[in-house]
This record gives sequence, structure tokens and C-alpha cells, in this order.
Amino acid sequence: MTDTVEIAVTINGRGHRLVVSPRRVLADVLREDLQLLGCKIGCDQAVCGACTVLVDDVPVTACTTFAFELDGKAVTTIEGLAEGGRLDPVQRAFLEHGAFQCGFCTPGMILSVKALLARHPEPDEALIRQWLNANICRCTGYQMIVEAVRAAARTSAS
Amino acid sequence: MDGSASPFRAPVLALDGPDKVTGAARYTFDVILPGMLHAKVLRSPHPHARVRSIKTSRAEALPGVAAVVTGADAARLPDPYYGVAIRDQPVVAIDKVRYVGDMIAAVAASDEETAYRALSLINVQYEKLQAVTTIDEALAEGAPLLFETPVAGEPVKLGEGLISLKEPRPNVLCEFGYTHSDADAVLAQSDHVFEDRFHFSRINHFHLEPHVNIARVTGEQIELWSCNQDPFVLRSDIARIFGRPANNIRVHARYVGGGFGGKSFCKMEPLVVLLAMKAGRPVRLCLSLDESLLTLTKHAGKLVLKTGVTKDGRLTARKSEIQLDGGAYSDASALTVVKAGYRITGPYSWDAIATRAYAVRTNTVPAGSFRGFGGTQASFASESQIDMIARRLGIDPYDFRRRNLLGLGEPFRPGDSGIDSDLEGGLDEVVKRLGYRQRVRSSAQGVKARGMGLGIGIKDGGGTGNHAQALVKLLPSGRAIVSAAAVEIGQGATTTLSRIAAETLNLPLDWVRYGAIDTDSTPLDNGTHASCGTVVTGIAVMRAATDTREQVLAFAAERLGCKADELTLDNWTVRRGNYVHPLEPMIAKHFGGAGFEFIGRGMVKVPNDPKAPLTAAALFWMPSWIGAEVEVDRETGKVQVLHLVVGADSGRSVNALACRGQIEGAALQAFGQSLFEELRYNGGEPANATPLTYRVPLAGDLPERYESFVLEQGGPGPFGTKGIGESGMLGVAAAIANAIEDAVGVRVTQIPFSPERVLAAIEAAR
Amino acid sequence: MKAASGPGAVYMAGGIDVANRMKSGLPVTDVVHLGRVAGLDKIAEAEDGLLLGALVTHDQLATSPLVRSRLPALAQTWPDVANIRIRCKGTIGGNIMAGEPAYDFAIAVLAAGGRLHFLIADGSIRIVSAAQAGVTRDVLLTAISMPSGSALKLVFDRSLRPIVTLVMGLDFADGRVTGGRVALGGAYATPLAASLPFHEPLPPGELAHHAERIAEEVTAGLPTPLGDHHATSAYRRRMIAILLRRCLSA
Repeated sequence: MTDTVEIAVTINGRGHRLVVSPRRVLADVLREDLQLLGCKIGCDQAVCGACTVLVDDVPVTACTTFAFELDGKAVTTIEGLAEGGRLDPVQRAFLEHGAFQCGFCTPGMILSVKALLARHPEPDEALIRQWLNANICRCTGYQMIVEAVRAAARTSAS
Repeated sequence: MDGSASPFRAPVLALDGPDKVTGAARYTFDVILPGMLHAKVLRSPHPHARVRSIKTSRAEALPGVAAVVTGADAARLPDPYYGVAIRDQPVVAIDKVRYVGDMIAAVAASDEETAYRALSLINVQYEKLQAVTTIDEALAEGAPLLFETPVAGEPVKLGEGLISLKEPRPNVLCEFGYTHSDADAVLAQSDHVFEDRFHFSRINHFHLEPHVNIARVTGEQIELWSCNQDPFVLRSDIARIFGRPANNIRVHARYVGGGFGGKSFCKMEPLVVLLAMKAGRPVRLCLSLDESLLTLTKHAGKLVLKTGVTKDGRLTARKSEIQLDGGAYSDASALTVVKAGYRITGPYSWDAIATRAYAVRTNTVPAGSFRGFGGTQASFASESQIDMIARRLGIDPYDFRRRNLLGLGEPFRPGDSGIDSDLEGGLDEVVKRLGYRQRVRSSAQGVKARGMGLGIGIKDGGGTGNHAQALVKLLPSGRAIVSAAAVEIGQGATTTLSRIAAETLNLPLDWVRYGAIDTDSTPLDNGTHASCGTVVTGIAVMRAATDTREQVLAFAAERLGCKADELTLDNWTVRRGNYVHPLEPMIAKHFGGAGFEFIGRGMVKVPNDPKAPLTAAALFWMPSWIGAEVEVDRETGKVQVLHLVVGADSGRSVNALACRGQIEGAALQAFGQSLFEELRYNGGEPANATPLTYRVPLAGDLPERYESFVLEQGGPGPFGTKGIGESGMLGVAAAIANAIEDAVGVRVTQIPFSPERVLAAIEAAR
Repeated sequence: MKAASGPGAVYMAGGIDVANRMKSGLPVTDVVHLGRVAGLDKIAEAEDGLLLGALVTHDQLATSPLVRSRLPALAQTWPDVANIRIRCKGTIGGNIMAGEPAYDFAIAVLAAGGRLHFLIADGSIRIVSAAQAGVTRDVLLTAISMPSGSALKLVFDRSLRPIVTLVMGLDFADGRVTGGRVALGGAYATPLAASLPFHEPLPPGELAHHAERIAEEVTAGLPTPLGDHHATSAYRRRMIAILLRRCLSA
């Protein structure tokens, strides 16, 4: 294996040229190199989805995505959603519907929902539940998250 | 306290919400200190073994390794054991390991990978011992002992006439006994006596933020950033273990990424401190989720209930034997045993009771606090048997419950406080929402059968004789800081306590901030558990805010040359008749410079009561009302929950969204445990202690219809509040079991209700 | 392929299994990343059904209009497989090569009577029936072909996951059932397939009539299923018979 790999990656709209070990995962690059601490690591095994970020708008677990896979791609983290201090509709809906408690799964959950609404702007309850199988929440019991998603869909539609 | 004129009607957005939805929330997981080392723990591969030797020189020599800690280091400490009441868990294994996953050594290194490599260079010589991994094995004649000699600590103190024993028998950690009147005599007189046994499974907390701690030791001072739910309890444990004065120990709390009791009481924090001492640098130990699964569980157990009843369905007496599997170490088992034993009577009236409950030591993951705490085990057995008895007598389970429910004001047990919830009202609400009266009998022939079941759980709330302290600071601008140590674990302490202060001080909610928790400056709290934050810490906060208000009014009165009782405080002005005087300029004028802060102090201690069975009367009661509709596949045994209704009593909701979230979150945990979630063992080996194999409920597992409701019948907390965090856990498993019996006429008395288990019950009945 | 032949070398497509195995201690020195290899991610119509490139992701499979029209049961089931993250990253080739007992695509291919296309060292392509293919390191899976349209009916029963997953594939000719297979996941150490005994072509309407007999006969001939912390071996065997009977009667 080569010692390092150079990648060109856009993160939250800003271009970065990074030199990384081929074994490095995206979660560590985000947290340690870029101080983007919103990406939380829960299980570290792609099961819980807490570390979900969007890569070219597709939800992935940062804990199991190698940094070298990001060359030429665009990453969106939770820090990239609010614009100029204004919350994104999904963030606002989560806030207004109490769709979080301890908050550890929340950044990953919100990004997962962003991807859902990008693909299905008007998801029904069954589709929302199915999509959210990608994100474990131990606190909320999910129902309030589902309602927040429906509200966000309505807001985004109008 | 009626509290019908609640000031909390207007919904609020959680104060910690913006942090949590933007990624700005900082947890212990995120704490980084300069020069911080990273630790990893070596864990026992054996369920029971003596440690013959540990050779660490190769690990210590690995470049990047700063320190290796073993039992030899722990043995030199003034008191290397922890546990609640009974202290048998060493900081790190000293002479024996007692479960697969037991901590045997730890390494602090420049990075996690180096620390992992160093673990593989530690050479441990074990002498394997025979393991006991079930209650029956541990209690068998001649079973190997987990502890050969008595351990430190005292049995839990209980009221007069109750039994509380420490280590009464081999492999029994502690025992609880309670009697009222003569249960044997009353049973002998009863028209019917039914004896049934129930099995309760073991689950994990599975909080997404794993256990994580950072310790820094500088000279005399020990400083910890900990995910622990109980910073002051931890401080006193560290003081005792390391033999240092408590004012030289400082614990910081951040947001906690889920607790549910898994981060309650001392865990691996002393080990992290020991590493930091030896390394001479700050050390961070962050467990993997796999390791957190091997740190603490909820007690599994067996409950045998012998219950008497008259022929027209009035409960007479109950004799219970409760065996809880405490795992390898005490943790909070002593308390759990007491609560399981005390709560086995449920929300019903009895002529006589005899209860014996005890925790058995086994070579498995230690069991400790888990939301509901003994109440979950007790309510499963009790609410299942209530239904079984009703059906045997040909009485509808709803009617049977109504006939026996405790009324408002009736003491839960003689000497304890009276029930403060409308138990019948909650049950009726469930019946209405479930459509219980409209349920249709399934044909005996079809492959799928539907049924409905009810359940009422109950537990005492707020802790026992609990206490808390708080400060409220008002800054010259009128902004406030609430300083209390109820840790934000997702239950909404931040917003609830801030709102109580805002309401008392007549300030907008967004002028109040819940201060950072630091044991150096935050007042003492007895721990974030037992659903006590809203009421106990809440009363302390309200009293502190009241004190602050009085100080402000006294100051203003002196400035204005009038009496304080002529003034009211409103949005950082004082009103005197028709005149409004802003406070900020008044303070600037009098003090100048940096101005002045009004610091109010409050505390609360729930009184001890010699007549109360648990030494203090319960502060409030936490009922839960459950209704479940299921569909059972008669050929496969698969159970689908079609509709789940869960209700609880918030007294008066300070934050309605938070109350709903607590109920639904808890009930889904209980739902998962009822149907599939379980930590299973193959002998002494955990079979599924990884995130991939340990199944927790996902969004796709939700019942088709899932709803909750909150009754507000007033409570002892500020403005009539009660705690509600644990309520949703109780009675869910029983309600589902009751629905299964309604559907297919068979009773499953062991959770989880796996398809195979349900099918076996269906076929056994044929 | 030379790069992948060393002892510490692995192929990586979506990387899900590679990452998992590395975190569990698999010593890896070389990762041959297939993600950028052109041409392996297409879904196309072929003479005998559909040709699916090994790098087709589960998500592409689930949303492909061609799959929806030619293999409707697969398209309907796939949005429920794993979760969206895994479906976007994981490939159907990776799903087969991982050799995991409960991986859904591997089971579906067996039920469909699909064939695997392997690139071997000399540059040629070897096509093997999925039921006969072993999972070896010296070949590279490039594509999977599956019968489709009116030639195949697939029926999925995932209601008892993770205890057992059952997929049934029926071959049709001239509107009659001429053969079939049942494939099982989660019941054995690897996905297992067995033939369904059709001694003569059967009108589909008559299947229900024979369902119980066929299910019993096939199940009796299966090896002993796994017993684990999810379920006993005996329970699995009984459920295989019941689920197969239900699929045949569907």
C-alpha cells in the first residue's frame, strides 16, 4: 500500500486538497483534520448510521468510507445545512416537532432525511419508516421523527 | 397540588435544540485536551478465571505507549472497589476475572491504534475456573463462588420490619424481604390461589454515545470529563477510591448521548484516572459500542407469583419470589432488588403480601440501573398474571382491574404515600383509543388471529428520600443562568429546569441558560435517575429562583424607598402600582463597574419517614397505561403489533413535546425487548454482543399505529409537575402478552415473544 | 487481477464487507478498488433475460425500470433490503462474493436459476450456474445473468428474518411451470438452493393443489438447518416447509 494519497474533495461547498493515509476514514478526516465535530461515531461499524454524511447527495457512513474514495466528490455534513444562521427546513422541522432527545443520532438522521426528501419530496409514512431503517435512534421511538419529516416535506413543497 | 392553571400551556422549543440540530452540541465524546493520550482496555476472554500473572513489559516498550495499568496498580489504591451500597467491582481486575469482557488491563498511548497493538503484547496467564452463567447454576449445591470472602459495603437501609441482607448465601449478592399481614393464612382462606412463573430477559442500554471519559491529574487535582449521569456520586467515589479530599476532584458533564441508567454510578472512570496518574498526561478512554454492551445490562430474572383471589375477582394476597440475575458485580443490583420486590404488588389493593427478592451472582455482564429499575420486571410478571387470573375466572381483564385498582389517595403500601393519579381514568383512555370494546373475536380456524391486551404499570417516582440543590444567577442585564447538576441525557432537563426558573422570575425563556455542569461550581445533585429531575431538582431550582427574586425585590425596594411586598418582578423591571422601573439602569447606577449578580440558592430534601417501608414515602407515583392490539400467525408464531397505545401522568407538562418523547421512547425500548431484543449467552460467551448482531428497534419495526397520551393530574413538583422519564417502560411486555392470549388463547410467560416461543405455546395448548 | 492475487489483497467494490472485515482484524495490505472499473455497472436486456453488471448497486437494482418490468417481485422487495445507505454503496457482486448466509441478492440469484460470469486469469469469461459456483479468489465476478419476464416468477418471503428468508423461483414455458428452485438464507452457513420437483409442466393454477406435498418433499430432502440464538434447527425446518407452501400457493 502507498504511504499517502492526495484527494481533492469539496466539503460543505469548500474545496480541499488533502493528503491522507489510504487507511484513513472520512469520519476521522472530518473530526480530526477539519474540526467538524457534528459527525458523531456510534457503533463504528456502519450499523447505527449516527455518522451519516452525504457524499454527492448519497447518504454514507463516514466511519466506513475511506478518505481515498472521496476524490472528486462533494461531502455535506450537518454543519453545511444552515445558511447564514438560518436553519434548513429539515432542521427547523426537527426543532419544532421535538424529533430529538439526546441528539447523538440527530446530525446523521437529519442528513439521511435530506437525502430522502431530495429523492421523494412527498414521502408517505411507510416510505419514511423504511428509509429511516438506516438510522438508529434509541431515545425518541421514531414517531416524532416521522412527523417532523412529513412537516419538512410540506414546508419544502410550499 | 392541582395546578390546573398551568403556566406551561404555550409550547416551547427545546433550548438544547439548536445545538443538536446544527451539529454544535458537544458531548464528552467531543472533548479534546492538549497532550491527550488514548486508552484501550484488555478484556477477559474467560467467564471465570484466576489471574496468575500479567506481563506488560513488551506493551510498555512499544513506541507511543505512555502507561499500562493492571490490578497491581489498583491494589495499591486506598479503596479500589465500587458499587452501590455493596462494593465488589475492582477498578480493574485484581485477582480474578468474573465475566467475558471483565477489564484486566489498560493502555494509554499516543493513538488508539498503538493502544490496541499494545494490548496484544500484554501476556496474561489465567487459571480457568468453572463458570456459572445462569441463576440455577449459580445457586446449585457446590457451585463455584464468584466471591470467596465477603465484600465491602452495607445492605440497603430499609424501614422497620423489612429484610435487607448483604451476601446472605453463596452467590447471592443481596436479599430483600417485605411482608404485610400473613400472606400464607390469607392464601389458605382464598377461594382460588394461582401460582405462575415468569422469565424476564437481559437487554443492553445501547446508548449511541458509548461510555467515554477523559481524566487529567495535575498534582493534587483530579479532573474528569465524564459521560456519567451522576457527577457528584462519581466525585465521592473517586475521592474514596483514591483517598483524596473531594474538593480536589472536579467532574465536568456535557450533553450525554443517551444514558437510560447505563451511565449511572461508577463504571470505568477510576481506571481512566489511574491511567492518567501513571502516564502523567490526560487520558481519554472511549469504549466501542461493543464494549459498552459488555459493561452493563438490565437484570434478567425469574419471578414466581402465588396470588390469591375471591371467586368474584377480588385480589387477596400475593406471595412472590423474585430472582434477579445480577451478573458478575454489584453495580446497582442492591437497589434494583429492593425496587423489583417493592413494586411487585402493582397498582392494586391487597390484604396481605409476602415478597422475597434477591440478586444472584453469575459470570455474565454486570446488571444495573435500567430505566424502570425493577419495575419493568415486576410489571411484566404482575400485569401478566392479573390477566391470567381474570381469564381463569371468566372475568374481563378490564373489569378485573377496575375491581382491584387503588383509588386516589389510597396508600400504595401501608406507610407509603397515596396514589396521586387517576388509575381508572388512564385505563379508560387506553380502552377508548385502542377500541377495546369493539374488538372482534378471531375465528379459531384462520391462520392469523387478532387480539387486544391491557396493562397498567406503576412505580414510585423521584427516588427515595431524595435531595437536590441549585443556584440561579441573575445577571445585570436580566439574563439568567440556572446552575444545577441534573445532567442532560435527552430527557429535556435543560429546557424543563430553565422554564421553571423563567416562570418563577417572569422572564422570557430564551433569557435563561442552563449552566455548564462542573462540580467545583455547580451545586450538588444526587444523580440523574429515578425520573427525579423535573420534581426534585426542579423544586431546588424553583426555590433558588424564588430566593433570587426576593433578593432582587429587596434591592429594588431599598433603591425605591418602599417595601418589597409592594413590588412585582416582570421582564426585568419592577412594578410598583402603575410605575415600571427597569432594573438594569438601577443596578448600573448603584454598583457601577461590572454591575451585580443576584445569586439565589435553593435546596430540597424529601423527608425520611420511619413508617415508610423504604424509609421515605414516595414523592409521587408513576403509572403507565398500555393497550396493545396484535395479530398472531398461528403457523409460524410470529406476532405483529398492529396498534400500541401508551399513556402516563406528567402531573403538569412543562414541555409537552419532551413528555411525549419520553413516553414513546421508553415504550419502544420495552416493545423491542418484548418481541426480539435480547443479549443472549452461549454458556459463558455472549452470543450477540455486537452492534450488527444485537438487534434494537428500527423505524421499520414501529407498530402500524403507535400513539401516546399524557394525563395531567397534578404532582408535587413546581407548578404541579411529576417525572415521566421511566413510565413508558412499564407494562408494555405484559400488555402484548395479554393481547396474544386474547388472540390465540395461549399464555407466553417468557420474553421475548419470539415466533418459536409463541408457536411452542400454541402447540402445547392443543 | 495480478494485484489481487497476493495474500493480503482484497477486491473492493462498495467496500462494506472489506471495511467490516478490516475492523475485525483482517490483515489487508492491498485493496484493489473496483469502483472505477468501467462497464461493470450496467443493467441490460440479454437474450436469455437480464444481464446485471457485478458493480450494479442494490439501489440501482431497486430503482431500475428494466428490473421493474422484467423482475417485478425483485423490484418490489428490494427497497426493503438492508437500508438505503447499504443499498447505495453495496453492489450485487459484492453481495454474492461476501458469501454471507443471509445476503439477499445471493439468495435471489439462486432462486432465479441465475448464472455468474467470471473473468479468469487468462482473460476469458467463464459462466457458471450460481448454484455451482464456489467463492474463490482467483477469479473476478463481472456479471450476473437472470431469466426474467414471463420465463420466471420470483416469490419472496422475508417475514421471518433473521431466522430464515425464502425465495422461490418458478421457470415458465408456454405458460406452464416447468421447473423451479427454492433458495434459503439465514438457515445454513451459506445460501442454499434446492430444486423443486416438477415431473411434468404444470398450469400455475394447479400449484396450490400440490403446494403442501411439494413443500414437504423438498424440505425433507434438505440438510439439517442451523440452530442458533435466533431459533432452533427444528423450528427452521418447519418454517421452510410452511413458507415454501405459502409461496407455491401465492
